Amino acid sequence: MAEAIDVGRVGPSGAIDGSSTERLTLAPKNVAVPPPTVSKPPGGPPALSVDGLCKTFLPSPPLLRLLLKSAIKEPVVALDQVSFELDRGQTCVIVGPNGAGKSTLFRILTGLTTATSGTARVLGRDVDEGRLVRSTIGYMPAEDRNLMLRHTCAQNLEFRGKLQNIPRGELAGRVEMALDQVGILSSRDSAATSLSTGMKARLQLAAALLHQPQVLILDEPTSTVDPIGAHEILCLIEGLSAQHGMSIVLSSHRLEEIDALEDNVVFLDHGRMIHNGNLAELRKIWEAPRYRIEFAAGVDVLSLGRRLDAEPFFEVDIVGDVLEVATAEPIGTVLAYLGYSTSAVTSFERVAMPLRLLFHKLVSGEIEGLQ
Amino acid sequence: MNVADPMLRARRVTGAFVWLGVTETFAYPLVILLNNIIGPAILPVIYLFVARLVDSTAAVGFDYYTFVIIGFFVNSALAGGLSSFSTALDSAIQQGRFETFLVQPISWYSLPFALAAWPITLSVINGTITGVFGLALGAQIRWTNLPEALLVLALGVAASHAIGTLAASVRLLSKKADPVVAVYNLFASILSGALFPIAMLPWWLRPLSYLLPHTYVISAVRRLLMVEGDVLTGPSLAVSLLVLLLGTIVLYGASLAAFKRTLDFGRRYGVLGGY
Repeated sequence: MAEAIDVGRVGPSGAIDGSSTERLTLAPKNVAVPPPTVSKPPGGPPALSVDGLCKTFLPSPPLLRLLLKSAIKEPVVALDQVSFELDRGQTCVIVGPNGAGKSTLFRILTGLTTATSGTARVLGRDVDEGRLVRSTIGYMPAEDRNLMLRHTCAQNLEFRGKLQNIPRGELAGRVEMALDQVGILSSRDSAATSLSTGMKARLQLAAALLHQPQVLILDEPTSTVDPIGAHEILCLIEGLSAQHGMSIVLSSHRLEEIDALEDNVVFLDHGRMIHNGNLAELRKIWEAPRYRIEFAAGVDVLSLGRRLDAEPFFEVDIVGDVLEVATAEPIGTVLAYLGYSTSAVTSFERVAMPLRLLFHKLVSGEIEGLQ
Repeated sequence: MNVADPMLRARRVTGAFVWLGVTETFAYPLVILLNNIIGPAILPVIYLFVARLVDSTAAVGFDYYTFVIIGFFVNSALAGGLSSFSTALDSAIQQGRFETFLVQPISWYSLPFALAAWPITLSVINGTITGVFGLALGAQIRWTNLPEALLVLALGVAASHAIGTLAASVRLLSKKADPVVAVYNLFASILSGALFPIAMLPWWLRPLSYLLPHTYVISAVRRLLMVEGDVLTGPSLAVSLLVLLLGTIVLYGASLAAFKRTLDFGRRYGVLGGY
């Protein structure tokens, strides 16, 4: 019998390791969308080009361990031959469970970590070029610890603007614009500590946008906010990409986000890239029709599921009292195998493979991604 | 359009960190009162009585009270130079801001100066408060030599800051511990002559005194400011200035190279922002 969904790994919330399953559409509602200013930038080198990137973290040398104990005892492969490209004005979602290598990839792109081998280029420049590259990147880290909590939103951005080399005469205007872009202009003079978690995430996004970067790197931008807040931040990100021609790479393990931002998806697992393309391409790989069957109370769904799964042409997942059957056989064959239980069927529908299951199968190696 | 002039950029970055330091310092008024006003002001009071004891029991040949007040004043400024960058770096790492700084389009070599600017200023203010209270309680100095003394002090702060940058490079890897500053302070407290003339040290310890920039700064400032400065023992003013100037250049070269190397090492091992 095929394994039922591993609810420990793919939790009821729908995140790979546990947040919500409900899908959200991305129609903007009550969200400040930035005004259109810049059309998509002209051609040239891709916004992001990653080629054969590898990173192995080594234990600290013995001498250094006199100062600080090493956090690792054996070499840890964080990235293994990761390659992908992101065209200008496009969005790419880096997906993967915790420990997949998403943050390491972002740390290499922002110059916080060096790669063991391979290259990473931002707008044609090697990330090792340092300041030149950093001036074209807007980076939003996963944590909000870097905010100055006792200072106001405007002060946070003014400080960041000075580090970002924004001329004094332009700074005040840029601060207002960035706060407006992320929809927290009314909180301009509020201390960061008084903001909700979602607003703090917006403030971080504003800080990343302040110097009008060409590439935005967002490390799990919605990880700390509720689904509604996450939806609004995603709307903002979509608006930035569509209206400002910004190239955006973001990481996430929330499946509804990945479904919504399906421009490009790079799926990482244990440092390896197991899919690079869009979700539609990925779904095409798994073309077997899938049926969702609900039964009236009293039916032994578990036994029924096991009986179907014993047949070579059915693959069955049991989700509570619901059977999900993947098969290339006609619907009639499915109904025939249900036998007397057919009369207890209350709902029968053809469904797309849930994203969580698709990724589960990718990780478990049941299907191979497009690389 | 961004600011292109590197000096102007460096000034703006330093200004931004000074602003951050000032606003964070003044967010805690009671701490300022205790650490930055009462603390530095109480030292001259304590040593007023110690000086009376010293003067009544031994003929030291100079005004011990002024001697020790100058020692504290100089020591406070030098301590700021020594530990400011290391402490600021540690604080930035603990608060999760250090990596945010590194991701900004600023040069790595501007960090030791920009992050240390306000803590050094605060230490100089502390030392000045000690000096002012000391003067109010009877210390006597040669005011005409004050500009030269401040010049020597500035050079000393630069030398200390260079050592502090080296210390911060180690601290970037050792995190909580600050071994270089701890060892340096241990030696400086005994050997620099802040509280007593180095002539009082055993002969075999005295050569070690001359390895510390503190010794030269304290000696030179005393020679310039004390009324009896000409009778004091220790390195001459010219020697002190020469050693400090050369030492500062060499120490900055070594410490900035060490800082860059540590940053590269931290990037390779992924230990920059962790704690």
